[in-house]
Amino acid sequence: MFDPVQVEVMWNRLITNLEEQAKTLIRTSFSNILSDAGDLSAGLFDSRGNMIAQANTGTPGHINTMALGVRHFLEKFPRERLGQGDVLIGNNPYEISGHLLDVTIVTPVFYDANLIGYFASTCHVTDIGGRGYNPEAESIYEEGVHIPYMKYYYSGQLNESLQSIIETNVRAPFEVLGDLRAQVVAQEVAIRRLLEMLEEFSLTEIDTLGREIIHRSEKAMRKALTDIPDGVYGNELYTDGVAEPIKIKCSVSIQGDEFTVDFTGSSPASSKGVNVSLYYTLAYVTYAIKAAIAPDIPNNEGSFRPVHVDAPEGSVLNASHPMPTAARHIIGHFAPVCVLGALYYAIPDATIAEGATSIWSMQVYGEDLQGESFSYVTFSTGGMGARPTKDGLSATGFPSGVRGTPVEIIESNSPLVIYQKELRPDSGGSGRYRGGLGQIIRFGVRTYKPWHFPTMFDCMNYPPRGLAGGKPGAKAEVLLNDQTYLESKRLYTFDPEDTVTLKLPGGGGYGKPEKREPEMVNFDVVNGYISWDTAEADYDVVEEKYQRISH
Amino acid sequence: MSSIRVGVDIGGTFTDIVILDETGDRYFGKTLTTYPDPSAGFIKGLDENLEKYGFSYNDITTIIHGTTLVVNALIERKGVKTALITTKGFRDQIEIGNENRYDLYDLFIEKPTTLVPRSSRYPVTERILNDGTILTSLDEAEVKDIFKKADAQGVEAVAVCLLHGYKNDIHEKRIYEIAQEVAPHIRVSLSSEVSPEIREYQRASTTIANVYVQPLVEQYLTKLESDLIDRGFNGQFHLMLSGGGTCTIETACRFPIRILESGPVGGSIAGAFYSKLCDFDNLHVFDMGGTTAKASLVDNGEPLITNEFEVGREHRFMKGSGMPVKVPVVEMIEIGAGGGSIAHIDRMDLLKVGPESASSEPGPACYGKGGTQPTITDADLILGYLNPDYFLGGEMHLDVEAAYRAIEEKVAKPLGLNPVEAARGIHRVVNENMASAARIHAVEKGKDIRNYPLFATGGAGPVHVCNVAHILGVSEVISPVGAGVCSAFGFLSSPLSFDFVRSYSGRLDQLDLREVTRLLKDMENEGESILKQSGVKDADMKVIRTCEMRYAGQNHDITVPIPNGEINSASIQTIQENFKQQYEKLYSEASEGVPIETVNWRVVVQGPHPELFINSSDEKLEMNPPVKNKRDVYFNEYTDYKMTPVYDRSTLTPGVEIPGPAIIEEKESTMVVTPTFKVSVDRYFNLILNAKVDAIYDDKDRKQQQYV
Repeated sequence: MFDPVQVEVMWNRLITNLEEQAKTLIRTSFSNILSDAGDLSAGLFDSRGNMIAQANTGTPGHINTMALGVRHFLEKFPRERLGQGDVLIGNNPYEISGHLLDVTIVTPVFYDANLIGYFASTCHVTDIGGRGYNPEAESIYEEGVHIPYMKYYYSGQLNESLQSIIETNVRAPFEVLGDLRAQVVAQEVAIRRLLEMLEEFSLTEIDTLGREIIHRSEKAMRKALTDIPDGVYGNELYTDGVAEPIKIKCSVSIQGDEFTVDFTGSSPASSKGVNVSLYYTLAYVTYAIKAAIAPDIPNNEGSFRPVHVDAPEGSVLNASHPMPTAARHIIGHFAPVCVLGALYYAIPDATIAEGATSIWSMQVYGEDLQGESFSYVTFSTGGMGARPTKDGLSATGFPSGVRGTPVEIIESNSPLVIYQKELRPDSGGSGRYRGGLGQIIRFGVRTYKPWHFPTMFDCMNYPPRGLAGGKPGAKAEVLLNDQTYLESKRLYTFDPEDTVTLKLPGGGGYGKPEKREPEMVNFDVVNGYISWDTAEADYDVVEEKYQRISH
Repeated sequence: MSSIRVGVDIGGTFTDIVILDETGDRYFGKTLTTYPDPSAGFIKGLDENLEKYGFSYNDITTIIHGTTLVVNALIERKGVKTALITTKGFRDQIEIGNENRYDLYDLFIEKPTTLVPRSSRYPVTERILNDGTILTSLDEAEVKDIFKKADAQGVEAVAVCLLHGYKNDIHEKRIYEIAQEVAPHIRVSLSSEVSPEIREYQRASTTIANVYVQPLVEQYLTKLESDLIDRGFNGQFHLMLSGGGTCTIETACRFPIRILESGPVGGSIAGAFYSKLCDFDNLHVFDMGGTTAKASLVDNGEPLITNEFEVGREHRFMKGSGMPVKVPVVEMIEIGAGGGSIAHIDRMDLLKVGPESASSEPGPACYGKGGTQPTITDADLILGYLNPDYFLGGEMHLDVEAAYRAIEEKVAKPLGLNPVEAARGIHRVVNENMASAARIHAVEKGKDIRNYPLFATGGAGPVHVCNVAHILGVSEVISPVGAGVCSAFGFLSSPLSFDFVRSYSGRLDQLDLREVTRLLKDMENEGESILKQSGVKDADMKVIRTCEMRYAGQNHDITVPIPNGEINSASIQTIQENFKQQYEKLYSEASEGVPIETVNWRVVVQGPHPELFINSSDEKLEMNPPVKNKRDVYFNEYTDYKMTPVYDRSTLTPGVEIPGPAIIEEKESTMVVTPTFKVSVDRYFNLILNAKVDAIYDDKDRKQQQYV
C-alpha cells in the first residue's frame, strides 16, 4: 500500500516519463503530422494490458483507441511469446485507431526476467500506400499496407522483411520508416526511465501502483457521472455523407455512475472510406464526456471503465473488415457532437452548440511549374459552437485539435497560392452567445498542367445547429472560380488558372438572439463579424440605438 | 572619485539595485516598485543607495536597466491605439492564429484578445509571393486613404505586416514613406524591420506589439535619462535585451519589443557569468519566487536562446494561451510553483500544489493577513525550513499556528495524514512538479538534465534546491551572494549587442551563395553601425552567425553555427558538418542522404564582454563557523524532526565546510542543506553544495518497510 503522497509522486513520475517519451518521439519524427498536429499518443500499460497513464499530447482519436488496441496485440502475443528486445507493430484499423495510417508500436518492459508492463505509441504516418489519405477507396484492400500484429524487432533484431515491405509500398518511405524508428527509440528511452524510477522507489513491478491509479481514476469518474441527472437522452444529426446523407443517432443513458451510449439507428456503413471503427467512436465520445464533466481526470483504464459505447456492427460508426476507413475522421468527429447534443438535456450548462466539426483538409496534387509532381495537404477549421456563457471560438477545431499552417509556409512548401484567408462574416449562428465564425479561403495553383483536388468536406447541406434557441451557423460552400458550386466529397480536376473558394461553416449560437447584450451586437457590427442586415434580422436592435452606442 | 557600474532591475514588486565598484566590491539595494511611474522608484532607490554607500551620480560609468514595463503594458493592454495594415485578403491572420485549442479538455478557453480590433485592421491591395516577386503592385492611393482614416480615428501607431514582407520589403518600405508624407506623427513599425521571419501570424503579432508599446517606452526612457543627467550622471545608459545583450536607449525606443523580458533574463545571465567564473560547463538556473518557479539552462557558459516567446500565458501557463512574439529571448520555462502556491486535494483524492497562488494578498496562511489556504511557504515553515522570526531578515513575523491550521484543515484531514506528513507531502509534490518541468524542458532541447548543476536563486529557490537536485539526480548546487538581486547583477556582465534575422529558405546545396553572403553582410553592417554609434571600437566587435536548419520535410529547426566571412562552397561543407554535429547532439543520430534546408539566418553583433572583478578571498580560515542557533527541522531522510544547526550566511567565509543537515539564513532567503549534501564557501563567497560521497539514500529500508 502507498500513502496518497507516494501515489501522487509516483503517478507524476509516470506521466513525466510518458511526456519524455512523447517529446522524444516528436523531436525525432520526420513527418509534420507528428510535430505540427501532435497526431500521436504514448501510454504505459500494466502487465495485463491495462492502460495506467498517458502523455498529455494525445489527440482524442488516439487516446482511448490505443488503450483498447494494445489488448489485441497481447492476445496474439501472450507474455510467454515475448522476450527482451522484442517490439510489436500493427495497424489494424478495426481494432485500433480506425485507419491504416495510424501505426501502433508496443514494447514489453522487463524487470530482471519478469515482464512487468508495456509502453505503446500510436502515430499517424505520412503515407501507408493505397489510395492515400482520402475516402476514395471502397475496401481496405485499396487503402494500403495492412500490417498484421507482428514483431517489428525480435530480440533486438529488426524484422528486415517487414521493413522492406513497408519501404516498397509507401510513398514516403524515408519519413514513414523514420517515424517508426522514432517510436521504437522513444519507447527505449521510456523503459530506461521507468526502470530508474523503480530502483529509486524500490519497486519491482508496476501493477500495484497501476491498480491504485486506475482505482482512484475510476472512482473519480464515477463520482462525476453521478452528478449528471439519471435518464435517457437522445439526439440525432445528419452529415452530408458521400453519396447520400449519413445519420448519426444516439441514445445516452445515465444510470447512477454508468454512462452508456447506443448509436442504434445510425446509418449503415458507406461504400467510401468514411467508416468509423467502434474504438474511434468510443474514443471521441469519451473525450467529449470528459471535456464536459471531468477534464481534470487523467486518461487511463479507470476513467474509461464507466463509459460504454455501442453501435450496430456494420453501421457507419462500427466498421468491420473489409470496409474502407481512411477518412474516418470526417464522420467520426460527429459522434461526440451528437452525444454532447444529447447531454444538453441533462447538463445544459456544460455542453456547447454544434460547430464545423469536421476538419477541412485541403489536399491538392499535380505538377509544379518545374514539372515535378507534388502532393500537399493542409488543415483548416471552421467555427466552434457557442458556449453557455461565451461566444464560440472562430476558426478553431472541435473536437479535433489540429493546427493550421501559415499561408507563407504553404506557399513556400507547395505551388499553391492563397488569395484570401479570412474570417467569414455572418457565418456564426446568432444567439445570446454567437457561434464562432468560419473562414473564407481562396486559392489557386502555380502550374501549367491540370491539377487535382479531392474534396473531403462536410456541413454543406446540414449546417451546425444552435442550442437553447440559438440559430444555426452558416453552411459550408465550395466554389470553382467563385461561380460553380462543388460537391462535398469528390475528386475534381481543374485547369491551371482555376481558383477554388472554400467557405467554411460557422458554429451554431447558444440561447435566444434577443437576449444578446446590445453592446455585443454593436461590437460585432462595428468589427464586421456580422452585417447590419443580420443584426437587424436576428437581434432586437434599432438603428438609433446602434448609432448611440457606436458614438 | 570612484568608478562604478550599476544594474537596476524593476520587477513587479521590488526594484533591485546592484552597484559594483572598481575594486570588485558589490553593494545591494532593494526598494518597492512605484506605480504608475516606476521611474520614480528607480531614481529614489538609486539616490538612496548611492548616498548610503558613499557614491555620486558622476561616479557611474554605466547603468544597465531591465524592466517589466513592456511585458506589463502588453498584458494589461496599456499601449496606444494601434492599427494594422496588411495584404488584402488576410486582415484576420492575428485572430485566426494557429486555429487550435491549447487545452483540448477545456470547452471554455479564451484566445488572447488581439491588440488591434478587427475594425482597425486595414487590408491594402498588393501581393508579393514567397520568392519575393511582385504579383500585385501596391495601391498607394489606398495607403494614403488608410492613414487619413486612421488618423481621423485617433490611431497613434500602425503596424505594417504584408505577406512575404520578410522576403521583399519594398511595399512595406513604401508604406512607411507614404505615412511620413500623410501622417508623420503616427508611429509606424514594419514587420520587415521588427521581425523579418516567415510565418505571418507571429510576425504580425510581434510588429503590432512593438509599435503598441513604443510611445510608452520612449516617454519612460527619455524622462528617465533626463532625470539621471539632471542629477549629474554622464555615463552610458543601456537597456537589457531579452536575448541577453544590452542596447542603447535609441535602439530600445525603436525596437521596444526586444526589451520584453529584460528583467527575468538577468537571472540566467548571472547564471552564465557564474558558470564561467566558477568553472561549471553547464548550469540549470533555478529561480523560485513568490508565485512561480523559472528554470533556464546555461550551456558552456551561454544561456540557451529561443526565438519564440508568448506574452501572458494566462491559462495555467499553458503553451498557446499567450500572444506570440518572435524575438530572441533567453529560453525559460515558468510553472505555477512559488512560495504562495496553494495546496489542494483533487478529484482523485490526491495532493496537488498550484498553479493557483495566494499571491502577496492575502498571502500564505502564515503571513497572518487573512489567508486560509495552505501554501508552500506554510509547509516550509512547519517543516522548520523557515524561521518564523527571521523572515525577510525579521521584517515579517510568520504565524506557525495559522500554517498548521490551514494545512490540517485543507490537506491533512482529507488525506488522513497528520499535519507534518501533509506538510512534507506539499514540499515533496512541488519539488516533483518543478523537477518534472525542468526534465521535460531539457528533453525537448535534447539535453540530459543530470549534467546541469543547479544555480539557486529567488526567495524560495535555496529552500527547495537540494531536494529538487536529488530528484533530478544532480549532485552539485551553487548559490551566489545576493541571490535575491541576482538579475540586476546579471545585467552588469552583458555586452552591448544586437541580433538580426533574415529568412532565406532553400536547400543548402542549391543556395545562391552570393545572396547569402550579401544577406549576412547587410545584417553585420547594420549591427556594426549601431555599436559604433554607442562607442564600441571596430576591433572589439564580434560577429556570431547562426542559421536555423532542418532536414527537408522536418518542421523542427536546429540552430547551426555559420563561419564568418564570405560563404563559398568550402563553407557550405563546414555548415553541413556543423549541422550534422548539432543534429547528433540533439537527436542522437543524423541521417545520410537527406537534403538539408535553411530557414532563418541570424547574426549577433556584439561589443566586448565587460570585465567584471568581483571580490574574492584566497584566505582560508580553518575555523568552525559560528552556529547562530539550533532548531527542529524535518528531513525526508529521517523519520522525525532533527535538531539542526542554523548559520548566518554573512559569517561564513571561504574555506568553511559544513555537512548537512544545516540551515543557512540570509535576509532574502534560507538555504536548506539536506543530510545528503555538504556545503562549502568558495573564494567568491558562493555556497557550493555537493552530494556526500557516501550519500546513498539510506531511507530505502524504511521505505520498503512502508510498502510491505
